[in-house]
Amino acid sequence: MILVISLLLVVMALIGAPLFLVFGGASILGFSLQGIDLSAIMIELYRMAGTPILITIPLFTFSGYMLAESGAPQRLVRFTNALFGWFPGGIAIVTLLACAFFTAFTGASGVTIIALGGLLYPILIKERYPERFSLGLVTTCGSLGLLFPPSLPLILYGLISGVNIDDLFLAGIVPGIILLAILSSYAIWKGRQAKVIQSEFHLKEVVASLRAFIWELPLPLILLVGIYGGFITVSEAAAITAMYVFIVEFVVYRDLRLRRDLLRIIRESMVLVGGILMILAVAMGFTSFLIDARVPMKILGFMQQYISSPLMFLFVLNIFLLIVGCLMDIFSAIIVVVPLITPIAKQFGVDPVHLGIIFLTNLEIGYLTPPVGLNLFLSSFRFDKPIMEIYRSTIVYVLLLFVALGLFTYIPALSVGPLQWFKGL
Amino acid sequence: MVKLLSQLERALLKIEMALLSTVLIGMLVLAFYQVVLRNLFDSGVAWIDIVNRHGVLWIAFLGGAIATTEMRHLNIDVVGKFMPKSLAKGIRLTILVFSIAVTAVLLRAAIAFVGDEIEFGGTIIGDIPIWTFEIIIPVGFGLILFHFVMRLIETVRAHRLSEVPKAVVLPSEAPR
Repeated sequence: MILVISLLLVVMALIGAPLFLVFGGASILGFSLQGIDLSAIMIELYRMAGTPILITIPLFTFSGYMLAESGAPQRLVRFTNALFGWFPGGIAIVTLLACAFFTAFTGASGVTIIALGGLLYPILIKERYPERFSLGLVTTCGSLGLLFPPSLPLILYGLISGVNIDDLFLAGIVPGIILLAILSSYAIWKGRQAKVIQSEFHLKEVVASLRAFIWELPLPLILLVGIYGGFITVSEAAAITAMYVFIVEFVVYRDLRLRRDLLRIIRESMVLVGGILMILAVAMGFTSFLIDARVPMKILGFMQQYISSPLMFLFVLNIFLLIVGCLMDIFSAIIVVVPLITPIAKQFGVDPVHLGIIFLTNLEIGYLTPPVGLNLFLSSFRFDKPIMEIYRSTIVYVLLLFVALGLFTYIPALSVGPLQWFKGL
Repeated sequence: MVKLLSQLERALLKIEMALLSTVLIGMLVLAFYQVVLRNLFDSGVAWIDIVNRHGVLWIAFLGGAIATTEMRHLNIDVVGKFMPKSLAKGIRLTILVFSIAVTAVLLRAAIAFVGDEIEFGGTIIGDIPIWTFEIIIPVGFGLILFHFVMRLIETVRAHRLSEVPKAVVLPSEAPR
């Protein structure tokens, strides 16, 4: 009977039932089996109201969606293009930087491909970048930048694993820059090869585009200086960011109108937030049930029979996470898998901050892995290309991301180092 | 009957949107006010944090309810993308029946939970009973259940899944 119900839940998950109900069903099953009253699920769920940091999720997401719906993408592209467009491979680098900046704020929810990809792809083609290269680039960029603060996956990982979110924000910066550097090098090489049209550097345009972008440019600074200068907490930063973006887009630039846009943006962003939080709400009961049943320790015992070294563990972890990443969206994956993996990784001596960076990089690659990587489908939809063509265009990028993943996995200093350096100051 | 129900659903959606907007904007204003108080005046209001923590719970359920009107809950979509179109309606029906069953059990548990809290629960922020904040849990599951039932009715009545409307649209937010 238990087996039949468990199997039913797995089938439901695979055919696309809402995941919060799959976990809801699993909690119902688990608690009933132990003879615990089902209102225990609600007691666990209500713990959400005791988690102050959760407020960052709606506030940062709201900020990201306001930015996406405003003229910010255009201004951002114009400014980065004026600064870097004259480089070899310039507009490709512009694509990388602009998307990374944007994804950090929109949380890799697919908004980047829709908002920025549509803007950048035609420019890439116009400057004679090969079509496949360009298509792969805009698809890959849709999740680039999720290692930079204040990305939603970073916050969620910190929340679930209990790692300090300030620490995670710091740890993501160097790996994030390395990812950008690897992809930029490839873009420069490809740009040379394709003999693309190169634009010239105009100081006037730099000044003009800076002036246009001047209100949005300080956003990362407010965050970084605010948090690491010790002035504000992450939750306070979320409130300041949301208020700032609201005023800038609705009052200063007036790209957005209260009557026309506010409700629409609230609906769009809160549907995503509601989706994430519902899974979180219901999964709290489910994971605490799993931990009560000592499931992580059982997995650990099983693994220790075959795996002895931390390196081997990390390797197996990478493979496991890649599979998770190409099945599940990043938010559900974090909520469900992190509580199970964290205690195991601890036994193998893996630093939880390091684990977080590995985790997110894997899931970032998951966005691009066939058959169901989210970016692939968004891109196919947005640029009206068959999905097979998108698969082909992203292969090179996936391989490059693998190189980065290898670096982050086996050189912990890349993520933990800056943190220790900062704390030593 | 069905027409009446969809009118009811649109009315509910309007209320959900109004509540959600109020909670989100209220939360933003309060949180920002608190930041200003803390950092510039070295003071603060204790109840703001409590209200905002519960605000997140309200956003979760209201956002979840609205997500149900668009069938946009986070899910794994492996099979759906590669199944023949002829099976799409059957799969959607299966998902909906499963969703309704689980949501109903959760709703019952939520009602029991809040029932206990009304009887035995304490108070926060002075003498406000805790259950007034927790009431969103059963209400939220109730709304989600209702929206799922509406999706089921829509799907049963349509010949193909592609004929089912993608979302419940309010007149005030017609596409630009």
